[in-house]
Amino acid sequence: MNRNVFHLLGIFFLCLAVGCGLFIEFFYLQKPCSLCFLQRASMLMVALGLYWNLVYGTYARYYAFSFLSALLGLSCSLRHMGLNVCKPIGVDTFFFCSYRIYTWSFLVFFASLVCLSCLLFFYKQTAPISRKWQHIVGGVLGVLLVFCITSILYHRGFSF
Amino acid sequence: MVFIYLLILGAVFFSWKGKKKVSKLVWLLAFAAGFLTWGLFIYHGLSPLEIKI
Repeated sequence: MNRNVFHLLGIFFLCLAVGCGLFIEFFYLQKPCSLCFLQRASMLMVALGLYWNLVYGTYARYYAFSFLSALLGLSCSLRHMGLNVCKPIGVDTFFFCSYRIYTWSFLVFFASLVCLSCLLFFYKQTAPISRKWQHIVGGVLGVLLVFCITSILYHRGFSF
Repeated sequence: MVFIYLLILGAVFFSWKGKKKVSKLVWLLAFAAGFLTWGLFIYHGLSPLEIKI
């Protein structure tokens, strides 16, 4: 199987995770905190590293960028879990399949690290994907980023 | 916070164009976003002012 299929699958699942976060935010009115925004940024950076593999061809340095981003996201989600582990569960606490959203985020980053390690283990150079697919994937990433920017501007404005 | 996403958007846009000439700019944007994210994680996540979270 062509290696780019795995890159496409990885980007799809990461975009799905960010999309679900945005859906929960807007339809269940869950206000995201700073760490949530940082986890989304990390997820999109993992997807960006995979996207470079589609555009410029497969190189280890692109995996390294994704790996570092996944590590950052994993740290953020672990910290987020640690901050809330002793807090009592409120009536408005949002759960998805018995887990909170940052726990799902932790699982996504953990799975990303495992998958990236497997891709690096069986490293092989491949040619870039066709221009049409590059544009489609880049467009999806761009739209998600625009939604994320809108969400930040709505909740926090330009503050850090 | 919004600047991180703008930097990632810039990196996606310039790689979307697919030109090798701008690959250094793409790297610069992506690494700036990465460093800012690490910085904000330390500032928001690890600072003692956890009440902000």
